[in-house]
Amino acid sequence: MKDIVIRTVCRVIVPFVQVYGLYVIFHGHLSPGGGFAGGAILGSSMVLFALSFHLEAGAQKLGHETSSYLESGGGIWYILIGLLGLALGSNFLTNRAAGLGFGLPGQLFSGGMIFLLSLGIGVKVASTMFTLFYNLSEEEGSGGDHQ
Amino acid sequence: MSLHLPVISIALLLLASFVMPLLRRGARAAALPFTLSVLGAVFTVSLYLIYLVESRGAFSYHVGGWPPPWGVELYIDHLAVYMMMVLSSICLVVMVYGARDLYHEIRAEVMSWYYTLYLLLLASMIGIALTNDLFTLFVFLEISTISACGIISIKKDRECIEASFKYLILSVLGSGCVLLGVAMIYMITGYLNYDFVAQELPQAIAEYPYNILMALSLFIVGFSVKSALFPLHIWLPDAHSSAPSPSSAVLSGLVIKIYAAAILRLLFRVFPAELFEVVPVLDILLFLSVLAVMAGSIFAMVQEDIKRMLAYSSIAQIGFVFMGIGLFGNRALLGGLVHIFNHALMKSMLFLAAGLIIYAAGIRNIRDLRGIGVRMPLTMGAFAIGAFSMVGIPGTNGFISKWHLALGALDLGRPFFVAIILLSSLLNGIYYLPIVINAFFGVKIEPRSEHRDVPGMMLVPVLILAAGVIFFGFYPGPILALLEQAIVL
Amino acid sequence: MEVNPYVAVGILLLMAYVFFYLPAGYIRHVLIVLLVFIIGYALVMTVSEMPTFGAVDTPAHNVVPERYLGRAPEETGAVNVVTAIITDYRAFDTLGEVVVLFVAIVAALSNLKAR
Repeated sequence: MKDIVIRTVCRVIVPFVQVYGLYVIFHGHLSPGGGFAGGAILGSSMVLFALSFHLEAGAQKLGHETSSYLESGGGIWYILIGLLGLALGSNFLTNRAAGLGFGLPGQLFSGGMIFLLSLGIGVKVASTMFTLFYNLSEEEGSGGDHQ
Repeated sequence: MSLHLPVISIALLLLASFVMPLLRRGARAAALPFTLSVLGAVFTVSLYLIYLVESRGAFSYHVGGWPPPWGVELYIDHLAVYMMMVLSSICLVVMVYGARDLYHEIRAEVMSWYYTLYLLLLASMIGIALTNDLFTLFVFLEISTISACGIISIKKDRECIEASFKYLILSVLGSGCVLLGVAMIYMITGYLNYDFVAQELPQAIAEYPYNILMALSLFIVGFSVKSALFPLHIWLPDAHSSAPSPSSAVLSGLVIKIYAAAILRLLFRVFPAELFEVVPVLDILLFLSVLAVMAGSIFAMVQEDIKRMLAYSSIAQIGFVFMGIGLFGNRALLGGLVHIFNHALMKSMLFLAAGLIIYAAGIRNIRDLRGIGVRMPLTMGAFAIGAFSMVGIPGTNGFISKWHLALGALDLGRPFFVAIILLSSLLNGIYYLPIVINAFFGVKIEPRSEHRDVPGMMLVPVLILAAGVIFFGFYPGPILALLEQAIVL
Repeated sequence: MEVNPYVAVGILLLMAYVFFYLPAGYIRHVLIVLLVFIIGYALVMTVSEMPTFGAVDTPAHNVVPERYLGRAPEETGAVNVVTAIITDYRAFDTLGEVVVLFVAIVAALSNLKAR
């Protein structure tokens, strides 16, 4: 797609969408939202970018290598946070009882594990959306070339 | 610390599967040793957990430190550790075989994806075995459904796509049924934890009879689709016969059984016994299991492809597990449960032996197997042991489970099922024994394709499983002792 | 409400036969309509006796939401109760959800790259 209107609007919109996605992720314990919703917003911003420019342009911003690291990283992060509760002498995925709960309820840096887990979920959901979109559309493109 | 081991083993498997795609070119060679060591660690943990549960009894684990009605609870009892031992041991042995076999069945690029899916499948099955919470059950059900489809469709052949697509659609339909059932149970009881639901359900029967009936039937249909109980089995032959051999072994040996174990837990720990007087669920399961045993055996007789025949035979054998559940007596249940382990041993061994024959001689058709026993004596010897075990000849472990099922049926005064068991043994003999006889004594047909040597890495797991079939045929004591404590009704 | 096992098994077998084996045609249509009516009847009966949505005395209003709604901020440190439930009280299920996303990606990619 080479429409200049779409490209310009997209260039303006994408940073705002991404900031909003990060806001939703980081405020998951304070306001409606959280890792899943915020991650979907983040991922859709990248999908929007790749759609309005070009698949290769999207791949330059976020390569296969990086997205697979993010993909695994989100899950590993989640499990490591869970094991942290174990290391602190409590059960798997324990939050406050293990001494992880920092900050006062209502503040941005509060909730302990919840804050950290939301981050992991957000990264995971965003990279899942982007990886799936990117690989499926890439496959479609290469299939078309063969015909 | 040791009480954390069940959740640590699930976390370890998940962590390993997350790490697996990150292994790049240089580290890719480490993927296999890494997978095997993780599987070995989980197997060791499961043996230790058996010791732990035997010595100090069943215990529950509160994930996140929240007590049951609020948090997620894992309940580690005799049945759970038994299932965990079965799952991890068979998975470990099959993976040793798969280390060599997979190289000619799937592309090298997707090898680490295969290990990932395999570890996730094991993790989710262990989760299903351990969980004490309806929603956690559903979540692990989803993981196992998708990863089971993944290890079928990963093969190069195109027919795998159709088979795994059929499996995916029907299996997701089953998941949907289970989810709807979970939602109904939550709506009328207000809990998700098995113990709390079981407390609430007797009062709810009077108020919401149709809801409970509907939830029960949705659970039965959902789990029956997934464990291929007779009228809902049509996805199984395609899926299990077209998959790579290690996948077939795991799918046929373990994946269809874990759903039977899950429905067993739901029926006996969640739904109240008064319900079974109103709704004859157990009779329905019994009826279907008899049909499964007969139909599976009859369909298996007319198959030409060896893996397809083994797949149909699985339909018959899952019938025995459900027969044990449906008879609802201590002894019969013992027979059904021990058949989970015994069938896992012999069916995975038979699939691996069939895979070995396909690898070495390129033969899939049963008629071409004539005289193969001379060329591959050890493989066909193992196959023969598996075939004898399927028929239920004394000295093999197949005999033990059928013996207990038959005695259980007699205890309950239902000799009809003894006749069914005998008849199915006869039918098994009709289709298994000619293969063995022809392989060893048949007129030798000239090999069509060049003959490849059998690698030791692939032969050893088959022989280990064959030794297991014989060993547990003579010494079933430890397994039976564990299960007798598991089924204190 | 007595259920006859033979009738139940018969319906199940008929359903499996109609859905999986019966070739398309007049009989199949009639049988499918019949089966849809049987299932529909059961579902309508189920829906008709469900507890009223949002009523105070539904079974789902028990100690579980009481503690979630009343004590989540002090126990977990999160003001948003929904997030407190999914990432603290039932964080293990959310781990499962994350794994579901991962396994979906892995299954799809392995399928695409397999051939």
